[in-house]
Amino acid sequence: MNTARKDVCRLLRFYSGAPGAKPKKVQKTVDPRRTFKVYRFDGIITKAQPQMKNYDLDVSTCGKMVLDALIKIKDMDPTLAFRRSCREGICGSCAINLQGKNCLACITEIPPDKTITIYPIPHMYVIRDLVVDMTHFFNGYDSIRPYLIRHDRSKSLGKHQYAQSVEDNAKLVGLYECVLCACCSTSCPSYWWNGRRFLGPATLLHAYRWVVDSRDEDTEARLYDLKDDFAVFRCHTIMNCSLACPKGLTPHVYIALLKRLISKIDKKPRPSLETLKYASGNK
Amino acid sequence: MAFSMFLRAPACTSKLFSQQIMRIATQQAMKPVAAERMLSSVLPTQHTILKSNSPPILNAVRSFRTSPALLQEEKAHDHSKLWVIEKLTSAVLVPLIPICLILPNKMFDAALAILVTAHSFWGLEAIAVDYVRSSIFGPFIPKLAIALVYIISIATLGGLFYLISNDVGLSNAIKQLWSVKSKQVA
Repeated sequence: MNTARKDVCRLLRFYSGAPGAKPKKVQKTVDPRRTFKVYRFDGIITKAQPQMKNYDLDVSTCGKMVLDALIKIKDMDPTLAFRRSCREGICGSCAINLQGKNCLACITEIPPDKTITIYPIPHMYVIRDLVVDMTHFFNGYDSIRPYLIRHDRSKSLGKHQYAQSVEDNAKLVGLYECVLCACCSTSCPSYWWNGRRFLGPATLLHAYRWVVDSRDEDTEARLYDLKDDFAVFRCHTIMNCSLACPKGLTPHVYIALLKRLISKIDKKPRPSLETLKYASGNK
Repeated sequence: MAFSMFLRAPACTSKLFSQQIMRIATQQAMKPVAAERMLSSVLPTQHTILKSNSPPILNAVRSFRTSPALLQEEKAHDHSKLWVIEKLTSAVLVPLIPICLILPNKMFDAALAILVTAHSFWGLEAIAVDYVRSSIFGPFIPKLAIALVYIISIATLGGLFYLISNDVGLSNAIKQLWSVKSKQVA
C-alpha cells in the first residue's frame, strides 16, 4: 500500500513539471567520426553487382544534414551519384532510405549513430547509386489529371480570377504542400507489390486535392476514373505513408476521404463562394 | 514495370499512338455522360501539340500491357460498392460476435457463419490479389490462387452450415473448446 502511494506521488511530481522533478535526459554523445554505408551500383549496362561501400566521415567537418554528409562523401569519392536541388526540402529530389526509413536528405539531421546506412528509396529500379527511375511514379501522377478542369471551353479561360472562399482554400492545406518526393509511395507495401496499377499515396493525395478544390468542375469524371479495385482500393490503411512523409503530411487520411467520395458516402459540397464571381469583370 | 518503361521510352517513337490503341482496346462501356466528360474535360484541342482528339496522358499507368491475357484482366470495374459492403461487414461483426456467443440460437449462428465467411473470403482474396501476382507466378497460378480462395470459403460456409443444422451449432461449438478439462484424456 505504501509503495503504491510512493509511486503515485513520484508520477505526480514527474508530470507536474516542477524543477528537479524530471531526471536529466542523458544525451547520447557519439564520436563525430562516423561510418556511412552507402548503396553503390554502377548501372544496369555494366552488369556489376550492387554493393555497400563504407565511408569514414567526421560529421563535425560538414553541415548537420544528411545531404551535407553526402556532398562531403562525394568530395572523397566523386563517382557517387545522388539527386539534389534545393537543399531546403521543397523540391523533393533527394529522397533516400536512411537507417531503413524514407526521408529527404536535405532536411534530415545526421542521426546520432556510429554507422549510418543509406539506400535508395525501396522497390524502385535503380539507375545508378542512389538515383532511381521515377518514370512510373510520375506517369501515375499525370494520369489523375493534376490540373484545374472547368466546363467552360471558351476563349475567356484565364481572363478572370476564379473566386474561392477562405474556408474552401483552407481545405487545400495539407494537400498543396506535397513535393512529390515519393517517400510515402515507396514506403507503402501495396505500392511495392502492385505499383503497376495501384496509384500510391502521393498520387492519391493529389487526386483528392483536385477533387476537393472548389474551383474544379470535373469531380464526377475524376471519381469515376478511380473506382476500380486497383487505383485506390489496394490501399489497406497500412499508414506507412504518413509515417514516412518528410513534410509531415497525412496521406492516409485523405485516401480514406477519397474512398468515401468514390463510394458516394460523402459528396463534394458546393463552393461556398461563387467561383465565377469576378468573371464579368466585377471587383 | 518502371524498368520496362525505362528501357522502352527512348526507343518508342509512337508512344501516343500505342497509348491510343491500348485505350481503345481496353475501354469498357462507360456512361455516355462520363465518356463525353472524360474527353471534353481535357485541354481544348488548340492547346494540344498533335491535332488528334486523344486525351494526352489520360490512362498512362495502364498503357504498357504486353499480352492479350494481361489486356483482359485489367478491365476496370466498380469496386466502390463492394468496398462499402466489406467495411459494413467488419463493423457489424464487432457487436455480433459477442451477442452470438452470449445468446446461442440458429438464426444468430447462421448470420454469423455468413458474415464471418464473407469477411474472411474478402480478406483472403485481397491477400491473393496483392501477393500472388502474374509478374512473379506467371499466367496460371494467380487464377489458381483465387480459385482456391473461393473453394476454401465455400467449403468453410458449407462446414459451418452443417455444424449449425446437424450438429451443436456454431456458438456452442466455440464454447465447447473451453469445456475440455485439463485432467481429461484428449
